[in-house]
Amino acid sequence: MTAGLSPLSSPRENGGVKIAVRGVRKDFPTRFGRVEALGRLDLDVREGELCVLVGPSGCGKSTLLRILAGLETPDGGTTEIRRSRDRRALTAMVFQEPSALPWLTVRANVAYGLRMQGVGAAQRDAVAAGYIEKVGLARFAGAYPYQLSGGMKQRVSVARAFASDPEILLMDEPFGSLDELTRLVLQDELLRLFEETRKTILFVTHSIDEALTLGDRIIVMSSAPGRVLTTIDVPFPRPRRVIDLRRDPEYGRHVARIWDLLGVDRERHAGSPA
Amino acid sequence: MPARPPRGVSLLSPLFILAAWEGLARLHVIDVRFFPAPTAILAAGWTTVESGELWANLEISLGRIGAGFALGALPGAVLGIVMGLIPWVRLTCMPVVSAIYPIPKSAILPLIMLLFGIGEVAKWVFIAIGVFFPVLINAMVGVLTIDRIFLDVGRNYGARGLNFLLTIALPGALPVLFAGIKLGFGLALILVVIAEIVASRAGLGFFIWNAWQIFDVEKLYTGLIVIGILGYLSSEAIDAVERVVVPWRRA
Repeated sequence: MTAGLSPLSSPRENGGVKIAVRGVRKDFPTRFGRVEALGRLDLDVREGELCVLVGPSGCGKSTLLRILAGLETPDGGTTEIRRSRDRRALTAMVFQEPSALPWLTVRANVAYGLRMQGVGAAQRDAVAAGYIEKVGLARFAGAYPYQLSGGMKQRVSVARAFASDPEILLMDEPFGSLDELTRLVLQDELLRLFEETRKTILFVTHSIDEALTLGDRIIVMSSAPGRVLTTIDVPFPRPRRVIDLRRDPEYGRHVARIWDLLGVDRERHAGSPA
Repeated sequence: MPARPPRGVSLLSPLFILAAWEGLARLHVIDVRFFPAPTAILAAGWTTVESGELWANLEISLGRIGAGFALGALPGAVLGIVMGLIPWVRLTCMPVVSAIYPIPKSAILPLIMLLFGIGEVAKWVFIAIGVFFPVLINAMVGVLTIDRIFLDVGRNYGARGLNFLLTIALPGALPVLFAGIKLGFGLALILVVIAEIVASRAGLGFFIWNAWQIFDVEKLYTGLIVIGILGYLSSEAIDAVERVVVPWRRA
């Protein structure tokens, strides 16, 4: 975690490098020997950017997030998250699976990150209440997760991540297991939250639509081992709304382009053993 | 899904058995020296209530159960959770636990009396040992079966040490831990009676043993019924506590 910040690409006017990943490797033992999940991955995420990692299953994108979240250690290379002030949490992660703690109410779940940082009860409840309101769960603040639908549970996780006010937010296919309609609504809510807070977000998905809808920049990865294939700047201005994007003719063109990139990659691997 | 049966339905089988018993006893189909009619048992039981004999013994047994249970359940829960959280503690302690746990507790009683005499402490220790293991094992399993995602959430949000224990491990283990507490309490009830039969001049176990010695069969049944009621009430009480302490568990 000590690499100097030597940007790979010149940072844009909106901020410097916030996350620097340099030569990160990660292997996993399997029955067939060690499989390289990430092979010498280099990437930068800029301050205040919503950066989306897209790639096929097994490209190591979730692994990268878990490394940044401190839940895995890399087998090589370094990661750095630039701190803006002391004592702020480095990361807050939104997982694909429902991750609202079953034993806490919605209110206590959203305040959980702040509680772990030692923020006083009154202050963290006030912050939590704000984010609960923003994700439309005000009526359910006292409810337990088992009383909520899948979409509402994900809203709790998203609100918790924002409320804990970390340096960066990590989102590992947070809407991946939701139905289409709920997913679109939550994407809209996330757009709103991001555009309001401008927190740096690294977002993993394998949905091209989701990447284009949310991202400022899309990093397209190949699988086994995970490497960066290319980076795409998303031209759509903010504030964005999901439904407006879908009407834009540019949108379809970009979908096709990313699809081609991923398709080429798939063919390249078609002959290799699974 | 079949319709939910009415609440009173679980009373049917005990009521039927009692009615049949009463009828057969009155008709002298069964030997009332061994199976006195339920009404006769009730009448005999009532005299022990009125004389205060039952309460005095019940109180003594409850005190022993309470002390022994607390002495066994608290260390059991703490060590179980620690064993669930820290692999090397688990691997170090597990062989000893596995070796001692299956020894019939009644077989340990002579040793305990050798070490602690025949006073109250010996009874507490005896009950505590019995309660300790099921609580420990359930606490450990409770921690080990916490969904990994919640451990990840705790770690990602910076829960360390005591914070992790109090906000992730303990609440996550509580539902299974409560199953262990129930098992432990049932065992405490069994063990207090054993201890009192072997070495006591008071308590429910003594009450029953004394009834046998003077061949007061109605009194003997009274003791058994009181223990049954105690078991039922304690189970209901633990359920009630669980509903308060584990409110996130689906009803």
